[in-house]
Amino acid sequence: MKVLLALGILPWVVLGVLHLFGLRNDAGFLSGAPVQSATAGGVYVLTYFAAVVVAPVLLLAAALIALTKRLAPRAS
Amino acid sequence: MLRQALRTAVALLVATLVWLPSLHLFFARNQHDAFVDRGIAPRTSELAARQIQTLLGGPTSELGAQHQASGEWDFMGRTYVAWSLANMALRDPQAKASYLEKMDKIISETLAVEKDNGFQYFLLPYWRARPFVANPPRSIFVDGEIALMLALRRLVDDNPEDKRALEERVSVITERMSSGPVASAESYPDECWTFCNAVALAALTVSDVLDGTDHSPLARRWIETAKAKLTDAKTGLLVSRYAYDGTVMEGPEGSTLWMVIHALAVVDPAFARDQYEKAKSELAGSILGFGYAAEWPAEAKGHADIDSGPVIPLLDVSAGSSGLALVAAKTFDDEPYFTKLVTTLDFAAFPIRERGTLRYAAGNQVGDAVLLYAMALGPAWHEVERRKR
Repeated sequence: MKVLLALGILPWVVLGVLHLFGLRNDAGFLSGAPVQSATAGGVYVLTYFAAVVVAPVLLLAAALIALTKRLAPRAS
Repeated sequence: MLRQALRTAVALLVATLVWLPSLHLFFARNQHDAFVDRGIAPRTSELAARQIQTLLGGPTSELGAQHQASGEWDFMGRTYVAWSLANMALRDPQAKASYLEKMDKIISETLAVEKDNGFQYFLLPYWRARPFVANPPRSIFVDGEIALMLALRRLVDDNPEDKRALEERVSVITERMSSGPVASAESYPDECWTFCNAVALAALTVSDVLDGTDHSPLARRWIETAKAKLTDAKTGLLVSRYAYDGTVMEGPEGSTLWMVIHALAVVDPAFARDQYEKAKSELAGSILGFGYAAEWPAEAKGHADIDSGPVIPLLDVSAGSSGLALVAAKTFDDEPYFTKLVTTLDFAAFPIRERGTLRYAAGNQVGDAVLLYAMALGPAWHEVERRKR
Protein backbone atom coordinates (compact mmCIF):
# COMPACT_ATOMS: atom_id res chain seq x y z
CA MET A 1 0.00 0.00 0.00
CA LYS A 2 2.82 2.38 0.88
CA VAL A 3 4.50 1.60 -2.44
CA LEU A 4 1.28 2.42 -4.33
CA LEU A 5 0.94 5.62 -2.35
CA ALA A 6 4.52 6.67 -3.07
CA LEU A 7 4.22 5.81 -6.78
CA GLY A 8 0.95 7.74 -6.93
CA ILE A 9 2.45 10.88 -5.41
CA LEU A 10 5.82 10.80 -7.19
CA PRO A 11 4.59 11.82 -10.70
CA TRP A 12 2.82 14.85 -9.25
CA VAL A 13 5.96 15.96 -7.42
CA VAL A 14 8.09 15.51 -10.54
CA LEU A 15 5.47 17.25 -12.68
CA GLY A 16 5.41 20.19 -10.29
CA VAL A 17 9.18 20.55 -10.54
CA LEU A 18 9.18 20.26 -14.35
CA HIS A 19 6.36 22.80 -14.52
CA LEU A 20 8.31 25.27 -12.38
CA PHE A 21 11.20 24.94 -14.82
CA GLY A 22 8.85 25.85 -17.68
CA LEU A 23 9.09 22.54 -19.49
CA ARG A 24 5.40 22.62 -20.43
CA ASN A 25 6.36 24.95 -23.30
CA ASP A 26 8.50 22.20 -24.78
CA ALA A 27 5.42 20.02 -25.35
CA GLY A 28 5.31 21.89 -28.68
CA PHE A 29 7.62 19.21 -30.06
CA LEU A 30 4.44 17.12 -30.48
CA SER A 31 3.33 19.35 -33.38
CA GLY A 32 6.79 19.83 -34.81
CA ALA A 33 6.95 23.39 -33.46
CA PRO A 34 10.45 24.66 -32.65
CA VAL A 35 11.15 24.11 -28.92
CA GLN A 36 14.18 24.52 -26.68
CA SER A 37 14.45 20.80 -25.99
CA ALA A 38 12.33 18.04 -27.48
CA THR A 39 13.75 15.62 -24.90
CA ALA A 40 12.62 17.86 -22.05
CA GLY A 41 9.23 18.13 -23.76
CA GLY A 42 9.04 14.34 -24.01
CA VAL A 43 9.84 13.96 -20.31
CA TYR A 44 7.18 16.53 -19.44
CA VAL A 45 4.53 14.83 -21.58
CA LEU A 46 5.25 11.39 -20.13
CA THR A 47 5.26 12.73 -16.57
CA TYR A 48 2.00 14.59 -17.18
CA PHE A 49 0.20 11.49 -18.41
CA ALA A 50 1.72 9.44 -15.59
CA ALA A 51 0.37 12.01 -13.12
CA VAL A 52 -3.08 12.41 -14.68
CA VAL A 53 -3.84 8.89 -15.92
CA VAL A 54 -1.73 6.45 -13.87
CA ALA A 55 -1.12 8.13 -10.50
CA PRO A 56 -4.81 8.51 -9.56
CA VAL A 57 -5.31 4.79 -10.24
CA LEU A 58 -2.48 3.97 -7.84
CA LEU A 59 -3.81 6.35 -5.20
CA LEU A 60 -7.34 4.97 -5.56
CA ALA A 61 -6.01 1.42 -5.29
CA ALA A 62 -4.06 2.37 -2.16
CA ALA A 63 -7.23 3.85 -0.70
CA LEU A 64 -9.21 0.70 -1.55
CA ILE A 65 -6.61 -1.53 0.09
CA ALA A 66 -6.58 0.65 3.18
CA LEU A 67 -10.37 0.48 3.29
CA THR A 68 -10.47 -3.32 2.96
CA LYS A 69 -7.83 -3.66 5.67
CA ARG A 70 -9.94 -1.59 8.01
CA LEU A 71 -13.10 -3.49 7.17
CA ALA A 72 -11.55 -6.99 7.17
CA PRO A 73 -11.01 -7.36 10.95
CA ARG A 74 -14.58 -6.26 11.59
CA ALA A 75 -15.87 -8.83 9.08
CA SER A 76 -13.88 -11.64 10.73
CA MET B 1 1.84 -12.99 0.29
CA LEU B 2 -0.30 -14.41 -2.54
CA ARG B 3 -3.38 -13.01 -0.86
CA GLN B 4 -1.78 -9.56 -0.63
CA ALA B 5 -0.78 -9.64 -4.30
CA LEU B 6 -4.30 -10.68 -5.27
CA ARG B 7 -5.79 -7.89 -3.16
CA THR B 8 -3.48 -5.35 -4.80
CA ALA B 9 -4.34 -6.62 -8.28
CA VAL B 10 -8.08 -6.43 -7.59
CA ALA B 11 -7.68 -2.95 -6.07
CA LEU B 12 -5.75 -1.78 -9.14
CA LEU B 13 -8.40 -3.23 -11.46
CA VAL B 14 -11.27 -1.60 -9.58
CA ALA B 15 -9.38 1.73 -9.38
CA THR B 16 -8.74 1.63 -13.14
CA LEU B 17 -12.39 0.87 -13.86
CA VAL B 18 -13.43 3.81 -11.69
CA TRP B 19 -10.80 6.35 -12.78
CA LEU B 20 -10.57 6.01 -16.54
CA PRO B 21 -14.29 6.57 -17.27
CA SER B 22 -14.26 9.51 -14.81
CA LEU B 23 -11.15 11.24 -16.14
CA HIS B 24 -12.94 13.31 -18.79
CA LEU B 25 -15.15 14.87 -16.14
CA PHE B 26 -12.15 16.80 -14.85
CA PHE B 27 -11.61 18.40 -18.28
CA ALA B 28 -15.12 18.69 -19.74
CA ARG B 29 -16.58 22.21 -19.82
CA ASN B 30 -19.89 23.39 -21.18
CA GLN B 31 -19.23 24.97 -24.60
CA HIS B 32 -22.72 26.32 -25.21
CA ASP B 33 -21.62 29.98 -25.10
CA ALA B 34 -19.59 29.42 -28.28
CA PHE B 35 -22.77 28.32 -30.10
CA VAL B 36 -24.61 31.58 -29.55
CA ASP B 37 -24.13 34.22 -32.27
CA ARG B 38 -23.86 37.11 -29.82
CA GLY B 39 -21.04 37.75 -27.38
CA ILE B 40 -17.52 36.43 -27.13
CA ALA B 41 -16.90 33.29 -25.06
CA PRO B 42 -14.00 33.63 -22.56
CA ARG B 43 -11.94 30.97 -24.34
CA THR B 44 -12.38 32.85 -27.63
CA SER B 45 -11.17 36.09 -26.03
CA GLU B 46 -8.13 34.41 -24.55
CA LEU B 47 -7.18 32.69 -27.81
CA ALA B 48 -7.70 35.93 -29.75
CA ALA B 49 -5.58 37.93 -27.31
CA ARG B 50 -2.69 35.53 -27.81
CA GLN B 51 -3.05 35.54 -31.59
CA ILE B 52 -3.17 39.33 -31.79
CA GLN B 53 -0.15 39.54 -29.52
CA THR B 54 1.75 37.11 -31.74
CA LEU B 55 0.72 38.52 -35.12
CA LEU B 56 0.61 42.21 -34.38
CA GLY B 57 2.27 43.03 -31.11
CA GLY B 58 5.04 40.75 -30.08
CA PRO B 59 8.49 39.83 -31.30
CA THR B 60 8.46 38.31 -34.75
CA SER B 61 10.71 35.38 -33.81
CA GLU B 62 7.76 32.98 -33.40
CA LEU B 63 6.37 33.91 -36.82
CA GLY B 64 9.81 33.66 -38.38
CA ALA B 65 10.27 30.18 -36.94
CA GLN B 66 6.82 29.24 -38.15
CA HIS B 67 7.63 30.41 -41.67
CA GLN B 68 10.82 28.37 -41.57
CA ALA B 69 8.73 25.32 -40.62
CA SER B 70 6.08 25.96 -43.29
CA GLY B 71 5.12 28.86 -45.52
CA GLU B 72 1.58 27.46 -45.47
CA TRP B 73 1.43 27.71 -41.66
CA ASP B 74 2.66 31.29 -41.85
CA PHE B 75 -0.11 32.13 -44.32
CA MET B 76 -2.94 30.23 -42.65
CA GLY B 77 -1.90 31.55 -39.26
CA ARG B 78 -2.87 34.95 -40.67
CA THR B 79 -6.01 34.04 -42.59
CA TYR B 80 -7.69 32.02 -39.83
CA VAL B 81 -7.15 34.88 -37.38
CA ALA B 82 -8.54 37.42 -39.86
CA TRP B 83 -11.63 35.26 -40.49
CA SER B 84 -12.04 34.88 -36.72
CA LEU B 85 -11.88 38.65 -36.17
CA ALA B 86 -14.65 39.16 -38.74
CA ASN B 87 -16.87 36.72 -36.85
CA MET B 88 -15.95 38.36 -33.54
CA ALA B 89 -16.85 41.79 -34.95
CA LEU B 90 -20.28 40.43 -35.89
CA ARG B 91 -20.61 38.85 -32.45
CA ASP B 92 -19.71 42.02 -30.60
CA PRO B 93 -20.75 45.09 -32.64
CA GLN B 94 -19.61 47.50 -29.93
CA ALA B 95 -16.02 46.32 -30.36
CA LYS B 96 -16.30 46.16 -34.17
CA ALA B 97 -13.89 49.03 -34.83
CA SER B 98 -11.18 47.43 -32.73
CA TYR B 99 -11.54 44.04 -34.44
CA LEU B 100 -11.58 45.63 -37.89
CA GLU B 101 -8.45 47.63 -37.15
CA LYS B 102 -6.59 44.41 -36.30
CA MET B 103 -8.09 42.59 -39.26
CA ASP B 104 -7.01 45.38 -41.61
CA LYS B 105 -3.44 45.18 -40.30
CA ILE B 106 -3.32 41.44 -40.89
CA ILE B 107 -4.75 41.82 -44.39
CA SER B 108 -2.42 44.66 -45.39
CA GLU B 109 0.67 42.90 -44.01
CA THR B 110 -0.27 39.67 -45.80
CA LEU B 111 -0.82 41.49 -49.09
CA ALA B 112 2.48 43.33 -48.65
CA VAL B 113 4.37 40.07 -48.06
CA GLU B 114 2.70 38.54 -51.12
CA LYS B 115 3.56 41.60 -53.23
CA ASP B 116 7.19 41.71 -52.09
CA ASN B 117 7.95 37.99 -52.23
CA GLY B 118 5.40 36.51 -54.61
CA PHE B 119 2.62 34.09 -53.70
CA GLN B 120 5.23 31.31 -53.64
CA TYR B 121 6.45 32.67 -50.30
CA PHE B 122 3.42 31.01 -48.71
CA LEU B 123 3.87 27.63 -50.41
CA LEU B 124 5.89 24.61 -49.36
CA PRO B 125 9.23 24.35 -51.18
CA TYR B 126 8.08 21.50 -53.42
CA TRP B 127 6.28 24.05 -55.64
CA ARG B 128 9.63 24.34 -57.44
CA ALA B 129 9.52 20.70 -58.55
CA ARG B 130 7.60 21.38 -61.77
CA PRO B 131 5.81 24.20 -63.61
CA PHE B 132 2.19 25.19 -63.10
CA VAL B 133 -0.07 23.91 -65.87
CA ALA B 134 -2.12 27.10 -66.15
CA ASN B 135 -0.30 30.31 -66.92
CA PRO B 136 0.61 32.73 -65.55
CA PRO B 137 1.34 30.76 -62.35
CA ARG B 138 -0.97 31.43 -59.41
CA SER B 139 -2.10 29.44 -56.42
CA ILE B 140 -5.79 29.09 -55.55
CA PHE B 141 -4.56 28.39 -52.01
CA VAL B 142 -3.31 31.96 -51.69
CA ASP B 143 -5.95 33.63 -53.88
CA GLY B 144 -8.88 31.82 -52.23
CA GLU B 145 -7.90 32.52 -48.64
CA ILE B 146 -7.02 36.15 -49.33
CA ALA B 147 -10.33 36.58 -51.15
CA LEU B 148 -12.18 35.18 -48.15
CA MET B 149 -10.31 37.56 -45.82
CA LEU B 150 -11.33 40.52 -48.00
CA ALA B 151 -14.91 39.28 -48.42
CA LEU B 152 -15.44 38.78 -44.68
CA ARG B 153 -13.89 42.20 -43.99
CA ARG B 154 -16.44 43.72 -46.34
CA LEU B 155 -19.26 41.64 -44.88
CA VAL B 156 -18.63 43.32 -41.52
CA ASP B 157 -18.09 46.81 -42.93
CA ASP B 158 -17.74 47.57 -46.63
CA ASN B 159 -15.18 49.96 -48.09
CA PRO B 160 -14.07 50.84 -51.66
CA GLU B 161 -10.44 49.77 -51.25
CA ASP B 162 -11.26 46.20 -50.18
CA LYS B 163 -14.04 46.09 -52.78
CA ARG B 164 -11.50 46.70 -55.56
CA ALA B 165 -9.04 44.20 -54.09
CA LEU B 166 -11.76 41.56 -53.77
CA GLU B 167 -13.06 42.14 -57.29
CA GLU B 168 -9.56 41.51 -58.65
CA ARG B 169 -9.21 38.24 -56.72
CA VAL B 170 -12.72 37.13 -57.65
CA SER B 171 -11.98 37.78 -61.30
CA VAL B 172 -8.78 35.72 -61.17
CA ILE B 173 -10.40 32.88 -59.22
CA THR B 174 -13.40 32.74 -61.55
CA GLU B 175 -11.29 32.78 -64.69
CA ARG B 176 -8.92 30.06 -63.48
CA MET B 177 -11.53 27.73 -61.98
CA SER B 178 -13.80 28.12 -65.02
CA SER B 179 -11.02 27.25 -67.44
CA GLY B 180 -9.88 24.17 -65.49
CA PRO B 181 -10.94 20.75 -66.87
CA VAL B 182 -12.62 19.89 -63.54
CA ALA B 183 -13.60 23.44 -62.59
CA SER B 184 -10.61 23.64 -60.27
CA ALA B 185 -7.51 25.78 -60.07
CA GLU B 186 -4.06 24.66 -58.99
CA SER B 187 -2.79 25.14 -55.44
CA TYR B 188 0.60 23.75 -56.43
CA PRO B 189 1.88 22.89 -59.89
CA ASP B 190 -0.51 20.32 -61.41
CA GLU B 191 -1.99 19.77 -57.98
CA CYS B 192 -5.45 20.92 -56.92
CA TRP B 193 -6.75 20.67 -53.36
CA THR B 194 -10.44 20.43 -52.49
CA PHE B 195 -9.58 22.54 -49.42
CA CYS B 196 -8.38 25.50 -51.49
CA ASN B 197 -11.06 25.28 -54.17
CA ALA B 198 -13.83 25.01 -51.57
CA VAL B 199 -12.50 28.05 -49.69
CA ALA B 200 -12.36 29.95 -53.00
CA LEU B 201 -15.99 29.00 -53.71
CA ALA B 202 -16.94 30.26 -50.25
CA ALA B 203 -15.21 33.57 -51.03
CA LEU B 204 -17.14 33.81 -54.32
CA THR B 205 -20.41 33.16 -52.49
CA VAL B 206 -19.71 35.91 -49.94
CA SER B 207 -18.74 38.29 -52.74
CA ASP B 208 -22.04 37.49 -54.49
CA VAL B 209 -24.08 38.72 -51.53
CA LEU B 210 -21.88 41.81 -51.29
CA ASP B 211 -21.89 42.81 -54.94
CA GLY B 212 -25.03 41.21 -56.36
CA THR B 213 -23.02 38.98 -58.69
CA ASP B 214 -23.84 35.33 -59.35
CA HIS B 215 -21.14 32.69 -59.31
CA SER B 216 -23.57 29.89 -58.54
CA PRO B 217 -23.17 28.28 -62.02
CA LEU B 218 -19.44 27.81 -61.36
CA ALA B 219 -20.15 26.51 -57.86
CA ARG B 220 -22.74 24.07 -59.22
CA ARG B 221 -20.30 22.90 -61.89
CA TRP B 222 -17.59 22.33 -59.27
CA ILE B 223 -19.92 20.41 -56.99
CA GLU B 224 -21.34 18.25 -59.79
CA THR B 225 -17.81 17.52 -61.01
CA ALA B 226 -16.70 16.75 -57.46
CA LYS B 227 -19.60 14.34 -56.97
CA ALA B 228 -18.76 12.58 -60.23
CA LYS B 229 -14.96 12.58 -60.23
CA LEU B 230 -13.56 13.73 -56.90
CA THR B 231 -15.42 11.42 -54.55
CA ASP B 232 -14.01 8.29 -52.96
CA ALA B 233 -16.11 5.34 -54.16
CA LYS B 234 -15.96 3.41 -50.87
CA THR B 235 -16.88 6.20 -48.48
CA GLY B 236 -18.62 8.82 -50.61
CA LEU B 237 -16.25 11.43 -49.15
CA LEU B 238 -14.51 14.10 -51.21
CA VAL B 239 -10.88 13.33 -51.96
CA SER B 240 -8.24 15.80 -50.81
CA ARG B 241 -5.83 16.21 -53.74
CA TYR B 242 -6.03 15.74 -57.51
CA ALA B 243 -4.18 16.70 -60.66
CA TYR B 244 -5.32 19.60 -62.85
CA ASP B 245 -7.07 17.10 -65.15
CA GLY B 246 -8.94 15.56 -62.21
CA THR B 247 -6.81 12.45 -61.68
CA VAL B 248 -7.09 11.68 -57.97
CA MET B 249 -3.75 11.90 -56.15
CA GLU B 250 -4.89 11.42 -52.57
CA GLY B 251 -8.15 10.15 -51.09
CA PRO B 252 -10.20 11.68 -48.28
CA GLU B 253 -8.27 13.01 -45.29
CA GLY B 254 -9.74 14.65 -42.23
CA SER B 255 -7.38 17.63 -42.05
CA THR B 256 -8.69 18.70 -45.46
CA LEU B 257 -12.25 17.44 -45.42
CA TRP B 258 -13.53 19.16 -42.27
CA MET B 259 -12.54 22.57 -43.65
CA VAL B 260 -13.99 21.72 -47.07
CA ILE B 261 -17.27 20.91 -45.34
CA HIS B 262 -17.19 24.22 -43.47
CA ALA B 263 -16.49 26.19 -46.66
CA LEU B 264 -19.14 24.36 -48.70
CA ALA B 265 -21.72 24.96 -45.96
CA VAL B 266 -22.16 28.48 -47.31
CA VAL B 267 -22.07 27.35 -50.96
CA ASP B 268 -24.30 24.26 -50.93
CA PRO B 269 -25.55 23.54 -47.40
CA ALA B 270 -27.27 20.25 -48.29
CA PHE B 271 -24.17 18.78 -49.94
CA ALA B 272 -21.98 20.00 -47.07
CA ARG B 273 -24.27 18.42 -44.48
CA ASP B 274 -24.26 15.14 -46.37
CA GLN B 275 -20.44 15.22 -46.37
CA TYR B 276 -20.43 16.10 -42.65
CA GLU B 277 -22.61 13.14 -41.78
CA LYS B 278 -20.45 10.80 -43.85
CA ALA B 279 -17.24 12.26 -42.39
CA LYS B 280 -18.57 11.85 -38.87
CA SER B 281 -19.42 8.25 -39.52
CA GLU B 282 -16.01 7.54 -41.10
CA LEU B 283 -13.64 9.72 -39.08
CA ALA B 284 -15.14 10.83 -35.77
CA GLY B 285 -14.77 8.88 -32.57
CA SER B 286 -14.87 9.11 -28.81
CA ILE B 287 -13.12 7.13 -26.10
CA LEU B 288 -14.03 7.48 -22.43
CA GLY B 289 -15.66 10.86 -23.10
CA PHE B 290 -12.76 12.26 -25.15
CA GLY B 291 -13.59 13.13 -28.77
CA TYR B 292 -11.17 12.76 -31.64
CA ALA B 293 -11.03 12.55 -35.42
CA ALA B 294 -9.04 10.13 -37.52
CA GLU B 295 -7.11 11.42 -40.51
CA TRP B 296 -8.29 8.68 -42.88
CA PRO B 297 -11.36 6.47 -43.23
CA ALA B 298 -10.65 2.84 -42.27
CA GLU B 299 -11.09 1.76 -45.89
CA ALA B 300 -8.96 4.47 -47.48
CA LYS B 301 -5.69 4.84 -45.59
CA GLY B 302 -3.28 7.59 -46.61
CA HIS B 303 0.05 8.73 -45.31
CA ALA B 304 0.89 11.33 -42.66
CA ASP B 305 1.98 14.76 -43.87
CA ILE B 306 2.38 18.31 -42.60
CA ASP B 307 -1.40 18.80 -42.59
CA SER B 308 -2.28 15.71 -40.59
CA GLY B 309 0.22 16.47 -37.82
CA PRO B 310 1.23 13.61 -35.59
CA VAL B 311 -1.02 10.56 -36.03
CA ILE B 312 -1.49 8.13 -33.14
CA PRO B 313 -1.14 4.60 -34.55
CA LEU B 314 -4.01 2.06 -34.44
CA LEU B 315 -6.67 4.70 -33.76
CA ASP B 316 -5.25 6.99 -36.51
CA VAL B 317 -6.11 9.91 -34.25
CA SER B 318 -4.76 13.02 -35.92
CA ALA B 319 -4.09 16.38 -34.31
CA GLY B 320 -4.76 18.18 -37.60
CA SER B 321 -8.00 16.33 -38.29
CA SER B 322 -9.23 16.69 -34.70
CA GLY B 323 -8.52 20.44 -34.69
CA LEU B 324 -10.34 21.03 -37.97
CA ALA B 325 -13.18 18.72 -36.91
CA LEU B 326 -14.01 21.46 -34.39
CA VAL B 327 -14.58 23.83 -37.33
CA ALA B 328 -17.02 21.45 -39.04
CA ALA B 329 -18.77 20.46 -35.80
CA LYS B 330 -19.33 24.11 -34.97
CA THR B 331 -20.61 24.82 -38.48
CA PHE B 332 -23.31 22.17 -38.10
CA ASP B 333 -24.16 23.01 -34.47
CA ASP B 334 -22.90 19.61 -33.33
CA GLU B 335 -22.40 20.70 -29.74
CA PRO B 336 -21.91 17.22 -28.22
CA TYR B 337 -19.04 16.32 -30.59
CA PHE B 338 -17.55 19.82 -30.35
CA THR B 339 -17.57 19.61 -26.54
CA LYS B 340 -15.87 16.21 -26.56
CA LEU B 341 -13.17 17.52 -28.92
CA VAL B 342 -12.51 20.53 -26.65
CA THR B 343 -12.35 18.15 -23.68
CA THR B 344 -9.57 16.24 -25.45
CA LEU B 345 -7.76 19.49 -26.20
CA ASP B 346 -7.80 20.53 -22.57
CA PHE B 347 -6.65 17.07 -21.53
CA ALA B 348 -3.92 16.40 -24.05
CA ALA B 349 -2.87 19.63 -25.78
CA PHE B 350 -1.34 21.34 -22.73
CA PRO B 351 -3.20 24.65 -22.48
CA ILE B 352 -1.14 27.56 -21.14
CA ARG B 353 -2.99 30.57 -19.78
CA GLU B 354 -0.90 33.70 -19.19
CA ARG B 355 -2.14 37.25 -18.54
CA GLY B 356 -5.47 36.80 -20.27
CA THR B 357 -4.10 34.80 -23.19
CA LEU B 358 -4.47 31.14 -24.09
CA ARG B 359 -2.35 28.92 -26.25
CA TYR B 360 -1.85 25.19 -26.49
CA ALA B 361 1.72 24.11 -25.90
CA ALA B 362 1.28 20.93 -27.92
CA GLY B 363 0.30 22.95 -30.96
CA ASN B 364 1.66 26.00 -32.74
CA GLN B 365 0.38 29.40 -33.83
CA VAL B 366 -1.59 28.08 -36.80
CA GLY B 367 -3.12 25.34 -34.64
CA ASP B 368 -4.28 27.94 -32.14
CA ALA B 369 -5.56 30.12 -35.00
CA VAL B 370 -7.73 27.23 -36.23
CA LEU B 371 -9.06 26.71 -32.69
CA LEU B 372 -9.84 30.42 -32.44
CA TYR B 373 -11.74 30.22 -35.72
CA ALA B 374 -13.66 27.18 -34.50
CA MET B 375 -14.67 29.08 -31.38
CA ALA B 376 -15.56 32.33 -33.22
CA LEU B 377 -17.22 31.13 -36.43
CA GLY B 378 -20.95 31.19 -36.95
CA PRO B 379 -22.18 34.76 -37.42
CA ALA B 380 -20.48 35.32 -40.81
CA TRP B 381 -22.05 32.30 -42.50
CA HIS B 382 -25.40 33.12 -40.88
CA GLU B 383 -25.15 36.69 -42.19
CA VAL B 384 -24.45 35.41 -45.71
CA GLU B 385 -27.46 33.10 -45.49
CA ARG B 386 -29.60 35.98 -44.26
CA ARG B 387 -28.52 38.24 -47.15
CA LYS B 388 -29.04 35.45 -49.68
CA ARG B 389 -32.70 35.36 -48.69
